[in-house]
Amino acid sequence: MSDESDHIDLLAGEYALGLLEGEERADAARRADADPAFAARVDFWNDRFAVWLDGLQERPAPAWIKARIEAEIFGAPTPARPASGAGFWSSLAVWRGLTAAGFAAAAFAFAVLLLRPPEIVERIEVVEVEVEVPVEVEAPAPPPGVVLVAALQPVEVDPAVLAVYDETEGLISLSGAVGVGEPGDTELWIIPEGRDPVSLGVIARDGARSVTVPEQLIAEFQAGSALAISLEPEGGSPTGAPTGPILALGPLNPA
Amino acid sequence: MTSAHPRELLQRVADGERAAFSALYDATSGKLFAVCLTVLTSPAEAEEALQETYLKVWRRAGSYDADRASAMSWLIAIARNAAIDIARKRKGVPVDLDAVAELEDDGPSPETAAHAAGEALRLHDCLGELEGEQARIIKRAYMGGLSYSQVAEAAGKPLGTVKSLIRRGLQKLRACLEAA
Repeated sequence: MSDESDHIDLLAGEYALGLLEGEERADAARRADADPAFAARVDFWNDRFAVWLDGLQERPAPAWIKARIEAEIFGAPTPARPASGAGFWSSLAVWRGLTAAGFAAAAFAFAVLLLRPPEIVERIEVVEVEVEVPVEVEAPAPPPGVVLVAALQPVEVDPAVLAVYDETEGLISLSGAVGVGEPGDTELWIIPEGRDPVSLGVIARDGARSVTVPEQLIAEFQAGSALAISLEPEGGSPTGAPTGPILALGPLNPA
Repeated sequence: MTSAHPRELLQRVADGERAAFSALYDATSGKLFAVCLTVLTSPAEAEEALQETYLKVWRRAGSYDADRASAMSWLIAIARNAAIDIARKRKGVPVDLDAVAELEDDGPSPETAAHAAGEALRLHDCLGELEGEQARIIKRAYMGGLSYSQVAEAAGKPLGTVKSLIRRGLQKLRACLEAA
């Protein structure tokens, strides 16, 4: 190898390993985009080093990530950003209904998941719930007639969906259209704070419609939870978790 | 779900095929999320890296060259770079060197040895020809996504010493890998 090609190869190896920092790293990244000879050397090293990760055990990513990516790429509806303009990650935090405390708890639970055998997981999750659920939950049922409201923020063109949950009847009333003209079915989800979405079933796209809340989910209807509507294959999500783009989303607030 | 190979899916993604992108995500995201988690210990950061990864995959699928690298190697490199970029943006949080050390091992896993014998064993053999410390440092840098200065800190050596150690190692490694 000539001195010049030797230099290029070394630089490619350093970049592939991740050793370069700051401007040097940025320069190498730009060069990999623009200079095919350099890109070929980077690929050479990447292809060799990647075998170190062959045995790496897969980690399933949370289901909402795919929906978020596809929304970003294909211009499908995305969860609304907060009015403060705080940006993408803040809106994700809203979507997941995580408070700062809930977030720390979730991160902790995840770290434990990585390290502990599965049988411990249940216990950890219970601990997390104990931390997050307000003490009042132990008290007798809240005063009758509590009404919670969620304004499910849109999507690009659709109007918002308004959901009203009436505790006395265990009923969610929905108004406003969503996903009109899209193939498949629209599905409603309750997202308990800091936890994965739970399906409330397939709903009509428009008109006034109501959904009866299953008894085991009534406890999840409290401030801090969120409602979301996703686009799913006909008949609803085949996996029990949202698989399609999120069409509308909003936190539950006392009316 | 399709059982198409990632290489074929990547080529269809390059043509803008949405279904292929979805299938590619389903087939590879578990692995790439694990890759992000080798560099970033925070799940929230790894989730951000994973999103960035697939946005780049969508934009750059057309530049993938099947003659130069396997599809998985190419995808892994994008995921690692996305994770490294996020790690470097985070200032003042020292890298967890103990966590990196745990990832090290003494050779290819049995799985790797059985399934990807050629490349993996060759790399292993060639690393075996380096001085022990050179090989260890190069692998540690890769597995943790460490910068030169982080490697120097971890090794307790001056930056210049670490740079020349790694560069000599890379030169020897390339000579060995390219030998017939």
